[in-house]
Amino acid sequence: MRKYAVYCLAGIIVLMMTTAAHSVLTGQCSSCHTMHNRQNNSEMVNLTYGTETTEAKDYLLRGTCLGCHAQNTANRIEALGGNDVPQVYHKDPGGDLAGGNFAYIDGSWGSGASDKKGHNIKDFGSFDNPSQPPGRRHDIAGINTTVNNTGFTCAGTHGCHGVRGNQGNGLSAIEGAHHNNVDGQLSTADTVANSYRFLYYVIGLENTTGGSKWQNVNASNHNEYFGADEPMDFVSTGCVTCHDAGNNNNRPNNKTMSGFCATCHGYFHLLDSGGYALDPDGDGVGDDKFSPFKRHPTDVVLPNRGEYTSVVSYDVDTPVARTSPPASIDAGVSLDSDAVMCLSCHGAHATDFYKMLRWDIKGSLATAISGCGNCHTSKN
Amino acid sequence: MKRKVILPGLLVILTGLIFIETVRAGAYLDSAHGNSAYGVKRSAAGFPADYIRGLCTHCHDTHASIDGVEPDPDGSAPSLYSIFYDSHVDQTDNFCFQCHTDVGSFQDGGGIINRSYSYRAGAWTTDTLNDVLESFSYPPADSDHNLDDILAFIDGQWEYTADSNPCNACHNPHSAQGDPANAPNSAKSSGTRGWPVSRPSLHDADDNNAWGLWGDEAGEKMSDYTANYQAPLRFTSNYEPDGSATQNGSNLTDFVTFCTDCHNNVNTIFSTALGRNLNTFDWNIEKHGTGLADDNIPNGNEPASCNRILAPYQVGACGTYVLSCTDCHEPHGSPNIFLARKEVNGAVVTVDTGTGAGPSGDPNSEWINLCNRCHNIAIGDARHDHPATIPPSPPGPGCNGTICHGPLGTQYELCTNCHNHGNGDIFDFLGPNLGPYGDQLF
Repeated sequence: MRKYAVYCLAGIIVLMMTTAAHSVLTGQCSSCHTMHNRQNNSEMVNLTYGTETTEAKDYLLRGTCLGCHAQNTANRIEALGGNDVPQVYHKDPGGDLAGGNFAYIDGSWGSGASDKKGHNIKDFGSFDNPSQPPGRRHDIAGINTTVNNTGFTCAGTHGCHGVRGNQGNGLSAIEGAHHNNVDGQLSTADTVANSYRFLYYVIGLENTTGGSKWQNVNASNHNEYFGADEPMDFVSTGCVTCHDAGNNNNRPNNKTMSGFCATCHGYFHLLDSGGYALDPDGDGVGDDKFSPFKRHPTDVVLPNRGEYTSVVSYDVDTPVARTSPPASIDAGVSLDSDAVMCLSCHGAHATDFYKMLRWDIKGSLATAISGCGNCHTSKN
Repeated sequence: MKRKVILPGLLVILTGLIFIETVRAGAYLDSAHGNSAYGVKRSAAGFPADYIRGLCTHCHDTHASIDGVEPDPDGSAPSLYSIFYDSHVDQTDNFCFQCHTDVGSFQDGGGIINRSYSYRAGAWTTDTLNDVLESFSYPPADSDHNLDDILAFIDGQWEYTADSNPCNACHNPHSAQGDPANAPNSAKSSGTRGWPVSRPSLHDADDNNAWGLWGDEAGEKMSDYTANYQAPLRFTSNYEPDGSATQNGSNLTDFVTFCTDCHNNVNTIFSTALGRNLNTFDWNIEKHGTGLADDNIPNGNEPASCNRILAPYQVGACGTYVLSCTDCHEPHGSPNIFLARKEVNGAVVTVDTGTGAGPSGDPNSEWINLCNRCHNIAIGDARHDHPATIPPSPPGPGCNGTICHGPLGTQYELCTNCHNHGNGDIFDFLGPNLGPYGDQLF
C-alpha cells in the first residue's frame, strides 16, 4: 500500500513538472492542491464560495471554480500562489475583465440586482428559472430541462467552459486545462487548454498586456475574438455543427465565439434549417449570410459600404471578431473582413445592463441606442 | 494671465460640447419614430413596458425572442429585417399598419392619428379619415396607392428588393417626420412643419444619411423646381401647405421631382385597379407642368380661357403656372378616383366615378368638378383649340363640334378620354386615330 502511494505521489509530481514546462501556471502545487485536506488539524480546502463545503475536492483541489474565481474582493485579478487568478465575481471599482462580473446579477455590485443581467448559473444561487436557453435549437440531449437554474453551471455538459459532453460537469470538464493552459494567441483550439478562455474549440487571443490581462481596455488593448464571414449552417453540416463526430462534445465546428454561443442559443446565430428532420421549425437568422435577416446576424462581416464605412476604430463597447485567427491586437476594424458577433452587443458572464448588453438599453434614448449606433452609424 | 487662460479654455470646452451634441443628433433622433417624446413605443404582450420611447427594439425584434418567447405582434415566427411583423402582406396588412391604425394599434397609448393631405395641407379638417391604414383601405370604387403595385415596381431598382416594404418607396422610416409634427388633429402650420418623404431614387439600403429626407433642405422645394408655382387656397384661409401667406412654394416639398422618380415618361407601372399600365407623361411638357399652356382662342362669344382662371391663379400669369402633384392628388388614398383630392384649392371636390354628372348635370362630366376648382368651365363651353389637322365635324369626326363635348344622344365623352396625363393625341375611340392634337391635353 505504501509502495502504491509513493508511486502515485511520484506520478503526480512528475505530471505537475511535465505540465509546468508547457504551462503558464506556476508556483507551489500546494497553492491549489492538498493531499489530504488536513494540515495542522485544519482543512486545507479553503477556496470556496458561499455555502460550498470544505470537504475534500476532486483532483485534490483546495477549492472550487467559484472559490478561486469568485472571491468577491475589490480585485478583478487575485494572486494565488504566484498566479493571476481572473475574478468573475468581484467588487473592483476599476472595472471588470472582458467576460464581465456575475456580481451584477445579485446586485452585490453595480446598479441593482436583476436576473436579466447575466448568465444565471446555479453556482451563484437560484437567480433565475429559465426553462431552457432562449433561442435553443432542440432538446435532443435534454438541454431544456438541464440547462436551467438547477443544472446550468460553469463548466461541462451544462456549462460553457471545458469539455461539454459526456465528461460531466464542473472540474472534470476542465481536467488538466490549467496546467496546460496556453496564453495569448489561441489559434488551434483542439483542447480545452489551448482554446480561448477554456471555451473548448474556440479560437481567440487573450490580452496579456501587463495590468490589462484578460481585459478589454481600449482600442489597442483588448482581447481578440474569432469570427467567420458566414453563420454556421445546420442544413449543410448537420449534427457536427455543434457536436463532434462521436457526439461526445458540444462545440462549434467553425471555432468562432458566436458559433460557441450558438451551441445553446442556436436560433440566434445559425442559418435557417426549417424542414430539417431534427429541427423542423428551425428559424435561424435567415436563409443566407446576406441581408435582410430575420434576427440580428452574427458571424457576418461588416460591409465596406454605406453607414458601416464609418466604423474604422475598434471599440471595446462593441467589439468585432476577426475572420482570421487573431495573432495580435488590432486597434482598427477591417471592413469586409471583421464580423459582428454575439459579444459585440452582449457580455459573456454578466453586465450591469438588461439582457447582458454592453450598454444601458433602458437608459436615456441616446444611451439606449448608442450601442446600435456604433455600427449603424447613420441611425442615430 | 489667469483669465487669459481660462476664457479660451472655457470657449474650447463649450465649443466641444456643442460639437459633440451636434454630432450625436442624427436623422433618426430627429424623426417621428425616434422622437423621445412621441416616437415609437410598442405595447404588446411579452414586450418590455419600460423600454424607452424611440428605441430601435420597438420595431426591431433583435433576436425575435425575449425571455425565450417572441413578443407580440406576430409571435409565431421571426420576420425579415428583424421587425416584429412581416414587412408587407397585402394592401391592408403591412408592418406599418400594426401601429398606423386607430384601432388595435401596438403603439403605446392607442392608435396613431394620421390625416389626409387635404386635411393637413388644405386645412379641410372635417375630413374624418384619421389613420394610414384607413387611407389605404378605400373600396375599389374609390382609390388608393396600390402597395403591391408599388412593390412590384420598385423591386430590383434603387436597392429595393422583393422583400422591401412598399411604404419605404416614399418614406424612410429612420428619418421621416410628421407634417405637422406631433399635431395629428391640426392642419400644418409654419411652426409645426416636418418632412415626411424621401426620394425612392435616392434609396440607400446601407446609409440612412444618403437616403435623406426630401423637401427639408434648400434646393428641394417647389420654388426650386419652378418660379411659377402658385400655392392653392386653403379650405379656411391663406395658402397651402401651412396656412401662411407664402405662395411661391418655398414652404412646399418639391413633389414634382419626388413623384416623377416613378411617374414619368419612362417607367412602366402596372395598375391593378385600372388593369393596365399607368399613362406615362413628361411633366416638362404638360400644360399643368412646366410646359406652356396656351390661351384658348375663343369660339364665338366664349371668353378666353385665362379669363376664366380662378383665384389664387392670376390672369396675368396664365399659361405659366406649374402645379405640384399634391395640388390635386392625395398620396395614400382618396374617396375620389385616381387619388384626386377631396379638397382642392379651398373647396370640396367629388369625383366618384368620372362618368357621373358634373355641375351642369350632364353625364360623363364629373371631372369638371375638379377642373372647376381652378378653371371656370362647363361642359358646354369648354375650350378646345383644335389644330387644322383635325377636321371639323361634321363632316369628319372632329372635336370642335359636339362629338366630343356635345351630347351624343345622352352621352358625353368622358373628359379623361382625352384629358389625361401624357396625352397629346385625340384617341381613336371615335373611329380613326385623329393624330396629334398639336398640344398636350393635360
